[in-house]
Amino acid sequence: MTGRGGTIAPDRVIEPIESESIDTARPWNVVVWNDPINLMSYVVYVFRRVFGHSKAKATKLMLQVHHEGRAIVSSGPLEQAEIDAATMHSYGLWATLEQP
Amino acid sequence: MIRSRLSDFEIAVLRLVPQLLAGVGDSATDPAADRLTPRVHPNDPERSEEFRRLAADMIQGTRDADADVLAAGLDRIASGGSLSFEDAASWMRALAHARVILGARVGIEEDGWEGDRAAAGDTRIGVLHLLGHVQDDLVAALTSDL
Repeated sequence: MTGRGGTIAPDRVIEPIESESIDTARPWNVVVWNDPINLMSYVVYVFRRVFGHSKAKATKLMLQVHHEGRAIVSSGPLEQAEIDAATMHSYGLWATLEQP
Repeated sequence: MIRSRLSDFEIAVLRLVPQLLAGVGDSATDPAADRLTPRVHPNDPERSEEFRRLAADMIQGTRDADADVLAAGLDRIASGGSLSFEDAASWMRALAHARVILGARVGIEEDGWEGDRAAAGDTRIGVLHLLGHVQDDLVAALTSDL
């Protein structure tokens, strides 16, 4: 499995949205949600390929999505979190952003 | 190279995938549209729409490229060739998108649909199963040496 930022890198940088209500200093979480279609084996593959997780870590995250309905798959600055969310969408997964 | 064990029938069904990927309509008419670019800020429709607008080009471009790679790969396999590792990610994404699109149009919203005998007659469910098997096999082939 290739690590993060392999051939999936988008052609353009996604600009963060400017707003007074955003605290860009606090990290943003990328949350992947359970969906009834995507295979567990595929979700593990995506987490390994995109984030470079070990099989064990990716499987643990996938099972969290499956049993708890959601899991935080990455955390960081808004710009990177948005890119990660868009990458998840490009793999057909359902992802949202949240700031704890 | 990944040795292909696809049957002629499977190859024929897989040829539907690029059409599925290219045929996604807008939110008003196609339940698949919203599912493919979900709201990233659930409590802020405006910011979600801004994100969707900015990310749409990238996601659509990737989807189009993946469909082309899949179509070319199927031609190669149909004439005795193999699937390259470089193409595998495109295949994975294309298969996932096709399944998500089909699932949205059938109206699958909950886990457990695989055992629904009443829905079993829907051809799209059959294609969902087949694409799932192919995707599972592909994951196994990609990760077998790890």
